[in-house]
Amino acid sequence: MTRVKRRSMLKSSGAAIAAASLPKWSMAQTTSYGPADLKGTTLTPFGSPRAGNADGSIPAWTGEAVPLPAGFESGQTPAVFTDEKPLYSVTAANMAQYKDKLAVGAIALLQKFPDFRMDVYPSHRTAIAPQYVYDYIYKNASNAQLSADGNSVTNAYGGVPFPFPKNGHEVVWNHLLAWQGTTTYFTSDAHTITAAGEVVLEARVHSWFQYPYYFENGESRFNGFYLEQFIVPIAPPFQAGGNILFLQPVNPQITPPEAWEYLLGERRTRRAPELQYDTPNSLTGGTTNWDEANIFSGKLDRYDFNYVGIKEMIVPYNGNKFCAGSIADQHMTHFINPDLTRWELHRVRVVEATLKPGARNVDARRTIYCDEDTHSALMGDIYDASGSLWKFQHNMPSIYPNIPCLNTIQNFIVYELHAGDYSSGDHYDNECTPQWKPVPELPTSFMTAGQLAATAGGF
Amino acid sequence: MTRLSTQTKRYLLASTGACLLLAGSGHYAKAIDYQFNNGVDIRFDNTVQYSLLERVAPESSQIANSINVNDGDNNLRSGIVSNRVDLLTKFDISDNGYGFDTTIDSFYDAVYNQHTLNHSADSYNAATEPPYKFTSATRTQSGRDVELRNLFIYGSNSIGGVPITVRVGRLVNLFGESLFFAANGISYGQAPIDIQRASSVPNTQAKDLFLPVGQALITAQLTDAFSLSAYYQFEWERFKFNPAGSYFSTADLIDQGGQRIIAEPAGTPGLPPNTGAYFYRTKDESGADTGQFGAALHYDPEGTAYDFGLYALQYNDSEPQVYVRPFAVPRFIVGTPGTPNALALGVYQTVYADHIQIYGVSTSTTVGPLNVAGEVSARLHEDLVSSVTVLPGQNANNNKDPLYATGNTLHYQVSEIYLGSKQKYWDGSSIVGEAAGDNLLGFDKNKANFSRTTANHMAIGLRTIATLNYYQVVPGLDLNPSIGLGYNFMGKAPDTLGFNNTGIDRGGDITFGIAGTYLNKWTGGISYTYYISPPGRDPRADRDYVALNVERTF
Repeated sequence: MTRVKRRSMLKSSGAAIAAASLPKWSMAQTTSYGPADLKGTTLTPFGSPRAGNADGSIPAWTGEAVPLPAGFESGQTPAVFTDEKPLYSVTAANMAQYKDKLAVGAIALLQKFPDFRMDVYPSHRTAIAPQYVYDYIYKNASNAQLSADGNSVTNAYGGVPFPFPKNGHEVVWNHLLAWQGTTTYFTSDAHTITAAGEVVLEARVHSWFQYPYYFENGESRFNGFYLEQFIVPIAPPFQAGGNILFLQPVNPQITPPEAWEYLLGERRTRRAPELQYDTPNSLTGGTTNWDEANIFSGKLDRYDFNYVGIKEMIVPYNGNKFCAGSIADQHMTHFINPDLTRWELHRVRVVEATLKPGARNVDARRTIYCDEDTHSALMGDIYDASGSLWKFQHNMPSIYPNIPCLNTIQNFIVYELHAGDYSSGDHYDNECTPQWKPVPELPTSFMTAGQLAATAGGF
Repeated sequence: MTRLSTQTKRYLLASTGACLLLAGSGHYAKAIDYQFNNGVDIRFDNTVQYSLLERVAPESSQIANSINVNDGDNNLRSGIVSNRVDLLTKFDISDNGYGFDTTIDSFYDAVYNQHTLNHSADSYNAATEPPYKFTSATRTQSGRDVELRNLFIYGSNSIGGVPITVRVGRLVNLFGESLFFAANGISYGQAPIDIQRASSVPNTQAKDLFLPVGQALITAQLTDAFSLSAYYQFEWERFKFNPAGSYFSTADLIDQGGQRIIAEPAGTPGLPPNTGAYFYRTKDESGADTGQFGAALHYDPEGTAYDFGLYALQYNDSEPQVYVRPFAVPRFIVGTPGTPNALALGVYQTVYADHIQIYGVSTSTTVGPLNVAGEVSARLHEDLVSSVTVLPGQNANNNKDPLYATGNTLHYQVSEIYLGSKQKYWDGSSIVGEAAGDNLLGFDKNKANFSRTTANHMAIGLRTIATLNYYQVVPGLDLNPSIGLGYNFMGKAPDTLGFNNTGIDRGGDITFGIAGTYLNKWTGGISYTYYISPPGRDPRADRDYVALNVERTF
């Protein structure tokens, strides 16, 4: 009963927002579909329409893997679409004509920095997954359930839980549970670029990311954590060995999230419950917050999420080129080098997150833009408590046909629009080896505080 | 004599960590750092640290006139008391979980390579040097040295699905949950503390506070919930105290540079003219390199926010007792030019007790945004604060026949870490604190030698640091102002150092600091430390100082 009531409230408020400010948006168009459609010819196995748009600027989804370049080795980010040229560039001068396709934060960036531009390339719907993931999505479509408060998911495994999301919480859970592979190992960097243009290395890390939610035939031994992150900082020297472990649950009420940190100063492994929400993210030098990683991450309980609708927008996509750039080339004074940033037109689901009454987070309101195919968030606008646009986030979704997946959890860029500095977190550059390398499953005993301590200070 | 020897256990510590958490400081430039797709990873970096300490409290006559604790006070009466450059070289190479790691520290402190400001020949404890010179041992330890810190090989692998990590070499391994009061905790038995470094380099983190010793360590993650660690140490090291006559030294007789105890200074009525009466340092009785080992079992039950540790270990104490051994007949020694003649009453030595056992438990959990942890441990047959005179012909050693009091003690401590998020007036914050206590449970041997004037049956101390974080104050600059407080409600611990570096009763210190990071390449800070209690209670009461430090990694 509660659930029905809440959903109707969501719908009406979502509709109100859409009606007030975004009249062109179409409301969730796939809500009339059912599980069987996931195996039909109309929808992709992810639940999005296979068809492109009317003018062909968004192509149909084919499900075919992008070919790997010759000489490709696991542990590399493959170069793809290297011979393509931008169709057009969005600049401060011409942005009015694309206004309804741009994130609010992108518009702000264009207005603030006249030399910023967005090169828009031909769209490629490259999101694919192994067949077993498609099979799980099909099962989830019938079985997955959102808890009454929207903060947990049950009876879901191995794929996005809600291929036909009906509300904001379902869209956000799809984002958190999107397919990124199972176990990967990589080296990545985090930089802050000061308003004066100094590029500061905040952290270089070795990490293991593992999705126990995605082991093939693993549902019977699923430990409740959809994502386990074992992070070993190796630079700068003062942070080297300050290992961090995150365990992210699908049902925080039954299996609370766990965070552990090896404190170098004290030589102790400690539970680190504060490494969530709006606590400054030490791996980005405190310039972003923990829940701004991956556009939105962690627990949902502090926000109401209103699903506004689905819409064609210019989003970062197939951004593999960025991962091969040098640190100096990637980071210009006020923004990521437009030459290395690939934008495409895709359909995204738009969710408005507003802070619940009495809940605290310095990010008072957020708009989250989620890809229709992968369900992953690609961009975010963040407003402060005064309602002023404060930050613009986007990632650099990179395609790994060898896995196959679209990696959207890394390469997250956060522009702080007030101060003019920005952060590129957990990103690849040409000094990072390996990149998003699939490795054999790690035993769950590896993802433990004991291992954090045993390997701290050297691995 | 009683007065002399009982000073030793009490006043030895220097600042071990007022600034531990101030540090959050960083630096990074073009260190060499190569990763290869085949898993090989090479790192080589050099950190240059510069630190300057200025004394800001005038010399207290009460401390300056205490003949066996005043050399550090007199040697550096005013002005700059440390002017030091450190070079920390770190090299690490690993290949898919197997590797080698080493750190070497080289330093030079100009202050200790110059003359002292000491004009008090009668109260200078050094026998080999006139008062205007530091002893060579003090000059080396405080003034110029190259020290090997870490040197170990390591390997991680999964055997039968059980992740196993092995480390062998000189390294630091600590059990338990202590934050500031490591000397009170389970970890006391695992690594000697570098007190000198902590006091001369204000932002020293705990990782640099402990001295590595040779050992083999194995950790096995038996299941998701259980992990087992065990080690055997094949090397024993003593605490590294501030050498006698250095700024933070408050005992002129120990450790390095400690050459004699002044029983009666020259000029004392009853002695021959221009003659003092002394006990001279003789060979110390070191702890054994064998018989130090331990194990820990950690239990992290799934689905709860609690975890638990169980510990058992045996160690040879790194903190000394002092044996004073009078001669049957005093000997007369003619002084070198400029120094008084000497009446040698006997000798003294530092003695390190062997084979003490620790059994302990720990737990940690979270309460809202707060991380809370605590531990309780008991030490069996531990040496207690003692006043020992070994009479001629009497047998005394550090093993089967000790003369210092021994007994069983109970140690307990609880700590918290709070990390705050952005608020109106700051970007982040932290409050870290620990309270600890120490009780004598009962005597084992030599109860009569327990030093009742300087030790009680119970001690309680507290330390806390509150820090605010400001990011990008100007582009590239982060600032972290902080305030730290250490206080002992009951200072006189029955066994070891006591709390807050001094074990001072109803005393402690306050440090105001501001640390900064620029572009993650330069870090630095300035701090002011004030000792709370008067000279009558704290021999460092007149050592208030301002510290400035800058560092950068290349």
